[in-house]
Amino acid sequence: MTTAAWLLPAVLLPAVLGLGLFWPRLRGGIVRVLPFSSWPLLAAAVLAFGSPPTDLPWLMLGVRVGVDPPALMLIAAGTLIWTVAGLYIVRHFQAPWFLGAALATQAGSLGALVTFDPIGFYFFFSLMTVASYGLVVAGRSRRSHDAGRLYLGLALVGEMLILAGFLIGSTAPEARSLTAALLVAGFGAKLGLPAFHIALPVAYRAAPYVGGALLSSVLVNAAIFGVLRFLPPDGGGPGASGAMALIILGLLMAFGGAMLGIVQRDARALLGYSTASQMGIALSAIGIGAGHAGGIAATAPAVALFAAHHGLVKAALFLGLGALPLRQDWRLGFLLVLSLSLAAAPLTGGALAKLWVESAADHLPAHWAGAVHWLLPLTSTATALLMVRFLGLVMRLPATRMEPGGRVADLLGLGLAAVVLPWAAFTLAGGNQQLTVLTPAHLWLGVWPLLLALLIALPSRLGMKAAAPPPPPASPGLPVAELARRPALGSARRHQWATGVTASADLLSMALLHMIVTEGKMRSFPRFGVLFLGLAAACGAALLL
Amino acid sequence: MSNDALPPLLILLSSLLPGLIIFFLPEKSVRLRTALNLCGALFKVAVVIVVLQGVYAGLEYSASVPFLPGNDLVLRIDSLALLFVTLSAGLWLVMTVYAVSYLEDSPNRSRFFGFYSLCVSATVGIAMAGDLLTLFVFYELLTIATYPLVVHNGTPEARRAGTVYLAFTIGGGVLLLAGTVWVQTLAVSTNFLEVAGVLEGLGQEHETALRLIFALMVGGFGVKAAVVPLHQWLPRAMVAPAPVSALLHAVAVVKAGAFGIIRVVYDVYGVELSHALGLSDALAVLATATILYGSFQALRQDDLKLRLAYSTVSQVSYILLGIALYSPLASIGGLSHLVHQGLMKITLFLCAGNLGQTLGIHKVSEMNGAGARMPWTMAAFSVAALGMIGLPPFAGFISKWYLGSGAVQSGAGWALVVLLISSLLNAAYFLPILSRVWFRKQTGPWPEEKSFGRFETKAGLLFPPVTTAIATVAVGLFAGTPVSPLSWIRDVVAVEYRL
Repeated sequence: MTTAAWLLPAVLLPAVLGLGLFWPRLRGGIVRVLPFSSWPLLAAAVLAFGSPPTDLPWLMLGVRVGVDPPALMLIAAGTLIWTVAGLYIVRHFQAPWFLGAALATQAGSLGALVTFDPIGFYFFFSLMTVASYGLVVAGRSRRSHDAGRLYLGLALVGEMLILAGFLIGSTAPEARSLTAALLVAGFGAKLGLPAFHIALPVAYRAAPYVGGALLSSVLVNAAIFGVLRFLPPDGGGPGASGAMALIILGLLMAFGGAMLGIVQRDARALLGYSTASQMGIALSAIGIGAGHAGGIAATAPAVALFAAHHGLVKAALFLGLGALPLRQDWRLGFLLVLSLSLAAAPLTGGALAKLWVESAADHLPAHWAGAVHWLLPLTSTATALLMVRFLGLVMRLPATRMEPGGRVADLLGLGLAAVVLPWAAFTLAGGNQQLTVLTPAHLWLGVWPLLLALLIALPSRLGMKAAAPPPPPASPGLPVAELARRPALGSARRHQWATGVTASADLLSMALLHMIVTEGKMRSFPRFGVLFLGLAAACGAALLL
Repeated sequence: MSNDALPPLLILLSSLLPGLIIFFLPEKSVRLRTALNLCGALFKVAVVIVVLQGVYAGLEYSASVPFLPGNDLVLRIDSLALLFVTLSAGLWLVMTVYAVSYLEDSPNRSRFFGFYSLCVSATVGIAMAGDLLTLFVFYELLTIATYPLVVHNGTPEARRAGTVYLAFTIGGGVLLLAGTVWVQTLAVSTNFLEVAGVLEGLGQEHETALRLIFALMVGGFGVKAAVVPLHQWLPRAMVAPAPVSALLHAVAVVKAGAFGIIRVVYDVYGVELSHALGLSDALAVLATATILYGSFQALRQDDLKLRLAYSTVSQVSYILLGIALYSPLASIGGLSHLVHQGLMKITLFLCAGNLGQTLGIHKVSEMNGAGARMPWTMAAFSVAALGMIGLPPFAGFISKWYLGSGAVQSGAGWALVVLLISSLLNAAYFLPILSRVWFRKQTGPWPEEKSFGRFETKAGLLFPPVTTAIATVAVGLFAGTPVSPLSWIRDVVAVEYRL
């Protein structure tokens, strides 16, 4: 067995443990090892790092496994997140179905990172998607089932787009643009691409805190990894149209996500939009790479570092929001540090990841590079504004809503890792030696976007704004889903029809109502609407020039 | 008679003889009947294994029995036939174990098992038929042997279903007979040869006749393959006991229809001729319509078996779509779905039977929380359902991957879109079931709960679906190994496309 071949048993271990739950006698033992079930994979990944990928032709239609630098970074972050989440899960949840869903999600989310071929990847990715439904519906209420249906419905649409992309990519490799478009759209279902983004806040709110932590970290990272690994080269090199489209799409998501997030009144929904916003930054970073002469591979480690950092921060934010048994002011301090890192404040891991991404933009055509160098820091401003609003919401959250079972040490460790680990990874990966992050010039590059955010936030009392109107419905689509389900509509036969078609009707109605509700919320923040419209206009103008 | 003639006859007789004996056994001799059934099934599997090795080593098996003047019944085992024979022999063994447990203490078991065995004999006859006439004879035999099983319960509803079944299948038989006779007048010989269709080489002047014959034959086989709008007997036949449903959907009847159409395209016309005449395009349209219609209907059903029945309507047409697209990859997808759909659908129906027998559950809306009560049954069900949707590593993914690749290869982008939409629809009618089973709380007492001691249900009911579920995982997970059905099918298709 080559070193890389050890990856497969290590990856499948959590899935095997999940199957073991069928024997009640084994459950006690499985619960004890559950939090650490990702460690063998980390060990195997470190061992296999650097050796060439191994082919396993007997597995399905042939699978290739191995570990490259982006994969190792995401596996390390994923292991950390799964360990902290696992420790929390075994204290908080006993139901075998939830433990099974978590283990299967874990196997899928980490397994996807060690595959080099579409089929192996698709296996792990779809395992993750289907199993993560269990994390969303853990509350077992009507609301969580509705959210789960929306989440899984959109996720499966994404899955089909990915499959189409893989099929076309493997059978007709010359159709590169079509493949690329299908893959971006498909993975976008997880990343919060426009239209798909509606599922993120709904699912994050319905899921328990640990579910939100996992959905927004390891799951989106698997999707970003998918784009990194399988996006076909644009072929055009610098200035290629596909790369530019990706940059624009990403920036749109980055600013749009922040704008939609700021008007939220629920901290978890806000974090959902924040994920879409951050993944927009990651997508435009991939676009920057695709426009690079060296191709995506040249910037892949930077993008992976960015995603790994985001995952660690998001997981810590979610758990810190709902399961950190600390005094309110200490808790706020914890969340503040994480928020600063997310907004790329100087010296944080977030700043490092972003600077690394930005440094690749120098290879773009001059006017594109100029625009990127302006707009990427502005995304930090948008993030900072969003996080000010987030902290404001947390302040008003009654401390009694805290879920029991969280442990301070675990969370502090996770938060610390989020801020510090990127430095370690950066050093190990050999980074870009020219990137002198600690010079005063670079510090200023990190500071001014935050100062700008402060300038905007302070006079408008963004964080403190009280939520005067009644809270929005649990999930925007619920009333319509309710109507469609009501048997009073007609005979039993029609009722059957209704249950049959709700799946698709729900998605449509939720999307529509969602837009209406968000629109309504926007009106209570007129200044920000104007500001962001201005930003969007500037963004467009800068790119056109 | 040479040694080569023995295996086909043994395969046929291993279920025919026990069946004929069972008819004359008294109702009470349970042990003898069970022993006969199991021995026949085991013997058939053993012969199939020997034949598999032989064919793999390049041997050929054929036998002919005098039938009409100048027309013998020809049994011949080519690699395509062996694919179907292996499937039905393996599944028959599983089903026999299941049916014995399922029908414990119910009346008319001798009649049931007698016809059950005849049914399987007719199916292997269809598989091994070496010419068109033999195919027709066994196809009609299957119709007759299945009717008593459909009406087995004897209720008015069952009898109505039986009447509809007979009306459709006998109508189909008439079409097929007309087509067969017409082919006999045109072709020199109707023996199926691996390398060419029997109608290949006919001149331009026969073009209209060729099109009409194709319509007749696809009409005839399409009844059993449940092609829309000839599918209507299939959902009604759901009143039959679960083992019969499994037989109809996975082993014998719909598969016989699909297999017949495969023979028509590959061996009566040949891939090239059916493509040149545009016949395969027509078949593709028909298959597409059926795939989408079946899925939409399945969405509406609350009755579990009805939902599964419409799912069959949809899934069997994957096979037809695969052979209709002019692409070797799509053919591999279609043929592998013949095996994969069989494994998955039998699992689903056996699990549905278990729910009915153990908890009295017949409706999707009653299934909340069933996973905690019957974890193994529902795990098997979940494996098969996820496979039907086409998720890896299950069998259905392999078929879907090849079908999709074939759609791209033949430039039929629309077929890829149809496949993906159909997958979403499959998800829309299977995943809510899984969500209920695993993630929802039980809402009340089970309609009619029985306890069976050690396991969640009778051992004889539990092991068959678990076995087929494991097979569903195995043929998908190890599709790349030389012993997988996929590898076998690659060879079959290489021959048909003369690669």
